Amino acid sequence: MSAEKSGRRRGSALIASLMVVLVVAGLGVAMVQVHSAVTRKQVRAIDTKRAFYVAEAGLSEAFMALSYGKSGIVADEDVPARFGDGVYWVEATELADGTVALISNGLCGSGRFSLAVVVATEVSPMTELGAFSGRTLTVHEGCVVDGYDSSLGTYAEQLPPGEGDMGGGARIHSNSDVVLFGDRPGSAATVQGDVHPGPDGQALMGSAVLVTGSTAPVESAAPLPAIEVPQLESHGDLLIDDPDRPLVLARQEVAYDRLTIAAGATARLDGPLILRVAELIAQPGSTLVLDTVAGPITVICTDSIALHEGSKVSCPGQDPTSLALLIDAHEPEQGDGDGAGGDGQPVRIEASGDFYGFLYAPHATLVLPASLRFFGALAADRVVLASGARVSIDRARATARTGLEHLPELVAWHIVSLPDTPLVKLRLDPLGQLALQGITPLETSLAHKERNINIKYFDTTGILRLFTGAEADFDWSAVGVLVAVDWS
Amino acid sequence: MKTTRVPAAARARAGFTILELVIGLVILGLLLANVGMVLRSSTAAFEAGALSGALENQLEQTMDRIELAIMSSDGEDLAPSAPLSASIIDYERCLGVEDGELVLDDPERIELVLGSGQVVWTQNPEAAGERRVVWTRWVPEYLELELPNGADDNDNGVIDEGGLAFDLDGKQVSIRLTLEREDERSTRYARTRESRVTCRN
Repeated sequence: MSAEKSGRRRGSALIASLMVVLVVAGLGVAMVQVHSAVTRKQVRAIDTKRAFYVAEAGLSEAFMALSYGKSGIVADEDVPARFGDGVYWVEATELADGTVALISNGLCGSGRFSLAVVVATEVSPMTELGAFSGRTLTVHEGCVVDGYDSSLGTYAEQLPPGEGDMGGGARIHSNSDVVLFGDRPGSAATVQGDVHPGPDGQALMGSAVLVTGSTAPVESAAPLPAIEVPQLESHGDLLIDDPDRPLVLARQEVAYDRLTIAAGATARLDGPLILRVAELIAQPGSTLVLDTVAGPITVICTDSIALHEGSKVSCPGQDPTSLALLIDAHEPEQGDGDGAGGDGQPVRIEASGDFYGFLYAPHATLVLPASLRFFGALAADRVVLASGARVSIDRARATARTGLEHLPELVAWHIVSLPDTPLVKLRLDPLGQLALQGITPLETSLAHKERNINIKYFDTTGILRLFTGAEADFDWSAVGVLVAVDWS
Repeated sequence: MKTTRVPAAARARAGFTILELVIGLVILGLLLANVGMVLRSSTAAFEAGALSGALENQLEQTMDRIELAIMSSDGEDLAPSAPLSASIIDYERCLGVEDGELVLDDPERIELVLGSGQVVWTQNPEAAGERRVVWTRWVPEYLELELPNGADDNDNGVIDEGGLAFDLDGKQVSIRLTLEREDERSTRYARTRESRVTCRN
């Protein structure tokens, strides 16, 4: 009996201890639950942030793809591309105004994020401005500027019957003032389109000047980008003086110190061609033919250019998007000796004929004479359209290669709603989900829609080459100068 | 068989001596005190952990919201203009492009409301259709370690900045935010985050 009583008494301390242990354990469980809830939230927030960066990486990849001339489509929702611990795919849609909308969907852990950008591809900072001057742009009396679109046909084909000009489409820009002369009706300057002076500039017009578009100043000045001069071995001086044996430069990349076309002689440049020349001189009575029918031509004059009065320029291809004449010459300081122009000016364009292309002289004054009918775009430190000059700005030139470096331009960036796809809706690790389906995400380098390349280029030894096939098989280090590239 | 009988007097004496009771009570007291201390410290640790976690979460969430809002905005339309530092920012979020033109959402504002210590997001501020949402509370008047004394106490290059501070530098915005709470024992918990974002538009 006594032993039984003693046994009952022994349990009371255990109960008290158990209660204490239970309370502490309960607190512990509550703490663990709170902490795990906090951790879950934090993990979700971190995953969302990682998904955001994966989506941004996708946008960058697509952006660079656009700059290479690809569509911008990278992988798809069925087989996305892998990036770090996440996956992404980018959709690209060409919009009506020529821009491209890229939507990148990034997935990482339980995080999901979709971003979109609108990108203007192939925007040339210069050619889209039409006629552009870093300093005051002068339009003299009798000068007519209009615009057209060479992608729709030739100027003559688009000219309204019975009209002397297009009646619109001109674009004139300056970082400073734009001065248009003409107080007498019939002989005053005419601009069939917009005239935009610089942010602090004005459009100063004679009383009889006609401008059909806007004359509002631009919000910010545009810089004149530097010309990238190709590194080529020069073949020295070249004089073309035999009227019966015209010089033909075609399908190559070549450099000379001084190229002189004597009176009566002809120099014919056939594309694809890249010509670097320190001085280009066309003497009176000479002819310079720039034929872009078979491919584009880029001429880079590093020191001076003189197309003297009486010389002739012709462009049989009539395609302003395929010819670029880039003049890297610098305006001399006062008192400097003569350049090729003979009066100290490094750029003298006095030839007659037709010029279809892009004329660019970022460090010099460019005077366009009445004798040279101009189609395309032009930009210079200072632009002067001489009395009676006829200029037609080509809108297609804005999206053509200029020979100047540029990237696609970001127009807009915004967050978009997530796509309604199973991989997105299941808030599970996408890599695990894809593995369950037996899908291996693509490496980024293999995830672009376009995998084949058709490329025309000058190799590092200056020989024109063609390659068609898988991009993975192409050796990019062999490219000296790119002429044209197509992706498929 | 012989049985031993316990005398009645001896049965009456059965139990604890006073010494045993004292020792037992002392041990019990020590045990209870220990348990109490464990409970107190674990409760304090629990509260501190929960408070810090909540504060961290709130801070992360608010900063993420602010960062995304500013990233989506047009850098040229931000107000106040650089290089001012302020506890308020006005911006317009980009919605995309239509006919080649940037489409912007209604004007929005993120501000620190002094007194209530709230970060408030407002759509159409001071205009018809104004909409206000409190993104977080517990924002002190000044950033952590900063005092209103005309000096840069927290050594971050800004003087007397608020608990929410925007510092504009071109299209880049530095965002600083402190959240601060007190528990029942008047212990202060403060968390600060700083980030720099670039307006994408």
